[in-house]
Amino acid sequence: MAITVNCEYGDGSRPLDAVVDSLIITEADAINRGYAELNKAWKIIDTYTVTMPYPDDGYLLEVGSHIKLTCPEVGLVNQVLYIAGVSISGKNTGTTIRLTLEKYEDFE
Amino acid sequence: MSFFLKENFNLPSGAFQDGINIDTAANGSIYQDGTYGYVKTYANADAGMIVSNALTIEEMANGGFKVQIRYQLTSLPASDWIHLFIVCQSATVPEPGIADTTRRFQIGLYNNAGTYTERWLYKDSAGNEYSYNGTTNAWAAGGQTVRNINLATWYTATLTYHPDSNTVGFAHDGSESATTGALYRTSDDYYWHLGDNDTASWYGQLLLDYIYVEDISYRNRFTLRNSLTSAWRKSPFFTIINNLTTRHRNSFTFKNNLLDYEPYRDRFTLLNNIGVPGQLVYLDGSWQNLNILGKQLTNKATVLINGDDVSDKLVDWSIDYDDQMVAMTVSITIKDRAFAESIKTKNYDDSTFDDATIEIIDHEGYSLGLFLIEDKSDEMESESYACALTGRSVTALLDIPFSGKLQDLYDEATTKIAVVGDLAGEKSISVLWGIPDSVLPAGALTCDDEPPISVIMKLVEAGGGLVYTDRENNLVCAYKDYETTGKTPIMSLTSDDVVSVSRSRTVPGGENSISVSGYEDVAVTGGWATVTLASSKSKLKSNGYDSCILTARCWNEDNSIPDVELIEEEERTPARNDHYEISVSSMIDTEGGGVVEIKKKSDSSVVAGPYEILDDNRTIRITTAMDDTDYLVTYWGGETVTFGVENYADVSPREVLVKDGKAQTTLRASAGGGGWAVCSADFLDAQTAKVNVQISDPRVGSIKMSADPSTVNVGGTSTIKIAVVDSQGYAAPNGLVVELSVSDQYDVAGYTGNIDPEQVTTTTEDITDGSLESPTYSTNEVTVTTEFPITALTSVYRIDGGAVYTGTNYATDATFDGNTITLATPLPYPDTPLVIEYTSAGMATAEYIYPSSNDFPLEGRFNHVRGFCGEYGSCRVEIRGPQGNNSEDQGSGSNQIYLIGFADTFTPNGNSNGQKRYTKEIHWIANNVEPDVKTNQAIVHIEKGAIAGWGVTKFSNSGPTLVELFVQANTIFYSYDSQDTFGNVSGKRLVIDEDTRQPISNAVVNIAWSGETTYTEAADEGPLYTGADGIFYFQKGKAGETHTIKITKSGYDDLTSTITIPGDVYAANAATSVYDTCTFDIKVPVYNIIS
Repeated sequence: MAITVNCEYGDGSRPLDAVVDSLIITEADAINRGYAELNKAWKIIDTYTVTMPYPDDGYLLEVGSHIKLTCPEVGLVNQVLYIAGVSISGKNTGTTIRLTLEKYEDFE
Repeated sequence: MSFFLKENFNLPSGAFQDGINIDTAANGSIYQDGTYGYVKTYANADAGMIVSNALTIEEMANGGFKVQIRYQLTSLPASDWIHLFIVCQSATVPEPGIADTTRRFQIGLYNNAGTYTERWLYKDSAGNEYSYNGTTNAWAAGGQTVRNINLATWYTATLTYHPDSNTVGFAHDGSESATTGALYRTSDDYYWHLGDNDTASWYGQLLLDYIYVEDISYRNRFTLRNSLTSAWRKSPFFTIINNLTTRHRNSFTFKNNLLDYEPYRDRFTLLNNIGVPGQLVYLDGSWQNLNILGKQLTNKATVLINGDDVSDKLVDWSIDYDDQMVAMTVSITIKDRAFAESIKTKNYDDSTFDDATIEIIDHEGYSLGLFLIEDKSDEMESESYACALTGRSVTALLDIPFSGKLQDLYDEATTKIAVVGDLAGEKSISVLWGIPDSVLPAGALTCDDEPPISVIMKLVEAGGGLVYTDRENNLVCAYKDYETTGKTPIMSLTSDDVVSVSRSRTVPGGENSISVSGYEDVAVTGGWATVTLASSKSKLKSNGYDSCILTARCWNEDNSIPDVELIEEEERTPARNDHYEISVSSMIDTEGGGVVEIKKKSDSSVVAGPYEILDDNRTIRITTAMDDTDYLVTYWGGETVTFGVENYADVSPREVLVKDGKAQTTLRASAGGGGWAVCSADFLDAQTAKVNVQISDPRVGSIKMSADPSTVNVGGTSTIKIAVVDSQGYAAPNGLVVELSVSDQYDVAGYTGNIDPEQVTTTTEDITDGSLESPTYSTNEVTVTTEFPITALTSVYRIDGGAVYTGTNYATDATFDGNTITLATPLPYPDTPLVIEYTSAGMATAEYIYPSSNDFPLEGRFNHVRGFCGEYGSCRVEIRGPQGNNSEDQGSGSNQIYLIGFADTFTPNGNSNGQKRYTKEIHWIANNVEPDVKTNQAIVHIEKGAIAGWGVTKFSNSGPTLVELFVQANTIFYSYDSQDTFGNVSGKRLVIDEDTRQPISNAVVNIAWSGETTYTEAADEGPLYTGADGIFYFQKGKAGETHTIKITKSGYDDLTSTITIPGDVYAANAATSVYDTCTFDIKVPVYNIIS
């Protein structure tokens, strides 16, 4: 038996992977799992893409860590942001890094 | 004017400069590989020559030219020649087998008794032939040697033709030079060629780096020469790069003295690599160092491939990853071709894969990741070479193809951390676990034919986590840590640090909801007992021992869960033939309480134990004989589930006691043969529960089919060929049974034909592929076009001159995989035509037979065909069935109309009549049904012409039915105004119904000529009437004016409008007609006038 838990974020839906057999053995378990998902991510997501020369200590810029960014152009002042993606590229002239940063805000 | 400029030798099929061609004989060949050209002949009968065809020496002789050739001699038998460049006087184009008796001058290579020599020759104006002696430095008769040369060594030779003196200057890179006397020249019919043109006694092999021809007649001109296809370092190549956005930094000025008259001075070369110091600039005939520095960052990283620093061989590189990607990816662009070609990729063997790695170290010495090299693709664009190298981090080893697919059942309780740790640990990958662990009950986790990373993601994502890789190649299993409150950032950045920044926002709306599907808490409906059945695996291997657990869950009629219970004092009688045994009604729980007590009903005396329970779990055997009377048995027991399976597998035990609502048995696959094992479970009077488990035959990995022909006519047959291979790609054994069936895929309900036979067995077949194979870009790898895998290779011969050359069997020591053959002996050149004979095992053959037309079922027939020529330029044909229905009854149900549209614009072209013929294939029309052609439905588009004729034709009954709609339109011109010598204009106009477009006859037409207020009823021209064709004629029109017209017809409203007379005026009886359209909008019912 395959159980599918579908969590819908209002206007959009985000189906989770089907769960096979008894990883979830009751409907209550399934619903609990879904709420856990929703409660963790029920947010407005602001995504920032920043490109810059690869800085000193740039190796610390990893997915899952955080940086503080002040960019009045996009409304950020001393804002701590989550690093969701990293792209480092290089040429003979030097190295640049592009970060995909995320900020979540409570919706309610 | 030049025919080669150090560029690629696009031989033999590439773009050639005008007038240059190649010619070969026997096994001789000329081809390009990389930037080199090859001339190869293998035997005396071979020839291979590059020859001027339309471009003759005569065309450039008056201007003078210089030829430079860089060559290597690969082989040359004793006493044989091969030409580097030879000019002959001849009336015809040189070709293999024609001797060079009329040569004027040449550079040639000659094997003088084992010594390889370069020779220069010319024929003087008297016809005497001389060659140059490099020792005495003089021209002399007979065979003289300029210098001795070695095999496989690069040499350069030059000759310059001076038209003024009719002499040639020779030189080579050993500083030797000489000039001839006046040359033999009796006509201007000259051609040049090089290579081996002799088919009697010469052969040899030559490697050419370039043939550089310089037209020295243009030396005083300024020339930027295009040599973009060359990868040669010192080729003339000039580039100015616009970099205006960095203000004036890029200002660049040079003053040329290019008109000076020195060799090479007219070439100025910059190699663009701004940003790297020490660039070479070719200026005034020499290379000079020049530092052109662009903006240089100080954070340049170091790229290591297999531990070696290769940074200077790259164009660029990049690393990408995010929290949605399991493995990090790397991409590198390499500009160094030789280095790129030395890199190995795609070694999927775990034990050696780690050998090919990329590591990128940042400017501070920190590693940004270690990557496996997975793929390489190179390309040559213009003069630049680029090779793209891609790879993934080591965590890719958990995925296909580096890990196999798992098919395991975790039948013992474990935890998520343990499972993930074990799977990653097999590839020596560490796990950073950042989500809560949980227990996985026994039998809860199944690996359903999936790689380890799929199992890991399933476990982590089930908890809402993410799986990705960090730069130290750890597998991170964590939640998205988006909550920034209280987090310590690792770095603070401001606008001054960044080059660009952008923002996007995702806003969820509405209410959240959660739905669960595929799960039922309540399984009891309507007061009936219920049973469900589940299998712990969806697929088993048919090897005789692979097994899984079948679990039946049961509910009683009252929705309660059945379980073992204490059955007290059930009244039973011992077996009559054996008073040591007594049976009970329910199955005894042998693993639980078992039998509690047996006592005689009459006196309640207890029967002494022990109570042995026999294999049927219902019969109790005791050691003391019982009487032939009733006994009361107390025991623990309950209802049972009876399992069954139809085929491909077996279940044991078949009857199982239900405990806590559950009964389990083992399904074990049989050996040999695959299919679906249909398993069943019966409980009380519940409906039987079923589950299908796929039994995969290990001998079968995949099945391929082909049909020849792929299209059959009515009554025709097609040969179906089936190839079966195992999961490793090897041929399935002979005797394997393949079942065939055919499904209905036609749009017309009816017959689908049949397969004969429906069961075939695999065998071994010889397949001969006698045609040119698909293009091969190497000389040692060939891919056969057939889709069936090769299991034995008999022969590989090349086709030479249209005939099979059996001198070399390239199948010797060749290897093959699938339909790709790797040759041990390389072919002479790529794209060599081949004929290949091989054996493909695991083959089976059947036939598909399409029925004859007489077998068609009734519902497949059509009995009505009707065509339309559409008003708006489209035509269509309607076909209706089934037989017997009212043809006028268009509608729904089985009386379906099949429309065949011929959407097309159909307009007579100018003054010409037009006709169109549309043909469409339909499936069939029954034998006894003739097309019912309904022409009265056609609507004629009068403005565009008239439909002169059309019809629908049904062709043969034996083959597919063709319906043909033929439409012919005649252009009709209604306006025909002509003017006589008195100025009176005569002409005609047409009146039609606006709706039907049909002509209106007997309409009364009155015209008020220009300037008049009354109509001409009693004037020059009385009322006019339209004829049967809707046309009225007038004789006394007033030229050049617009007139009022009034049309009256019973049943129509009156029309008052204007016409212009004439539309165009011609002399009477003019041959040219006028086609003009004028439309009037009037009330309903309506009509139109065409003027």
